Amino acid sequence: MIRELPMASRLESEVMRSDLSKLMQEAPKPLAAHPEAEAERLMLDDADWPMEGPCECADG
Amino acid sequence: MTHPDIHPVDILETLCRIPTVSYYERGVARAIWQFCAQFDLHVASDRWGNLFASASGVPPSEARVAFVAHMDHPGFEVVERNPDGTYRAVSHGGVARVAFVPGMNLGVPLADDDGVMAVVTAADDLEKRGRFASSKSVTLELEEPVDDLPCMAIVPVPDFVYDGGWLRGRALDDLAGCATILAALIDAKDSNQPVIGIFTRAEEVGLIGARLIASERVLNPECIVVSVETSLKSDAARQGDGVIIRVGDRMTTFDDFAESLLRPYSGYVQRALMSAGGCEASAFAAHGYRVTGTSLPLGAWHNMEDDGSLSMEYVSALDFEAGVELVSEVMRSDLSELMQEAPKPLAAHPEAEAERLMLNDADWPTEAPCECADE
Repeated sequence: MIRELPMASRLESEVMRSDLSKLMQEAPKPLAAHPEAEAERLMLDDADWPMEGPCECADG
Repeated sequence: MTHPDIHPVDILETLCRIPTVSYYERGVARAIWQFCAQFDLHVASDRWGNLFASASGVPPSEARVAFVAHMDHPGFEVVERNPDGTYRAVSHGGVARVAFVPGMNLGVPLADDDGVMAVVTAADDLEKRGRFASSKSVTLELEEPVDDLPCMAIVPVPDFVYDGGWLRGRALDDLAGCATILAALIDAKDSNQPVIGIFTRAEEVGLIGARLIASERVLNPECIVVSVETSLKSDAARQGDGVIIRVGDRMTTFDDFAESLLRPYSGYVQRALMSAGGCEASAFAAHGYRVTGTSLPLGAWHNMEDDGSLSMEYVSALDFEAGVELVSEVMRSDLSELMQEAPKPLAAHPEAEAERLMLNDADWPTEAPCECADE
């Protein structure tokens, strides 16, 4: 039994002792969530963004 | 960059003269739109105000490569007037801690290049996050009443200074990225490649503009996304040693195939993980896009010097010009050639070395018979 692992080895040791099937599941991706409240805030409510002329709409 | 009518630093200066805070990107968006009109670039907006510009007119849904930068910067929003005549403000993004200290001056830009000064008198519920802080309850005294609320408030440092070797500004993060993309689009105007520039909103408050573009599939799902950013300098990302090819950020590591688009650039370049902050590549990666990034090593990130004092952000002018050159070079390249799978020397079987390694005795590594893993 190794009593004191150097810091660099503790990470490897922790991974080796983990439940790998759980560890290798796809992690949740908070950035994939749709930011509802902020989207509402950004939603353009005037016709002159950013210029007064009519703009082409990139998203149809 | 040799366009006869404009220099990239001129574009950067024009953008930096315009105050910007998350949700208050209108002035910067307007300037970008005007540059596009001046140089015959196509430009469009989505319904959240993100801008899409190109030389070829390719719509985002058909783009093969997109360079992305954000138009906002951390700052404050003055939201209401209190009964006692003071004002309540909230912070957006990671603002330097010193900006919350009572007695600190802020600027409140108003229409027509006008503005009033504000003084912080209190900051409650301060949430400290490393170098920065945020608060939903900052009390301000304004030198004159302001009726047109809500409005932005910014830290009191100069807009822009170019002192030869260094470019300094209040919001180089990420107006330097916006200027880089604009300058490269202008420079590569005749290339007719399916490449676009994207200028997003509200990055500093959670990559919001980019997440909306990615989640709504405004952009071709097969498009390679290149974040064009600034990020905190370090020993591994030195100012003056060139533009960084960014292999990852605080949240994710990026894509090797996407990075191969940038590798042919042989100019002034470094390669590093820039892990101090996140960038929009991570937002697109979360939706399955292949992403990579460029970054300029940045001093006084979010207007905070190492000693905690307020400052303009600063980048090396050489790094900035290399960044423009890199992006312009990709835009002018033959993308179909560039996007072919690159040869992989490491995938070749090492014949000679294999022969040398081949065991020719039975006692490796001990005298007992070994189990063979490959049988």
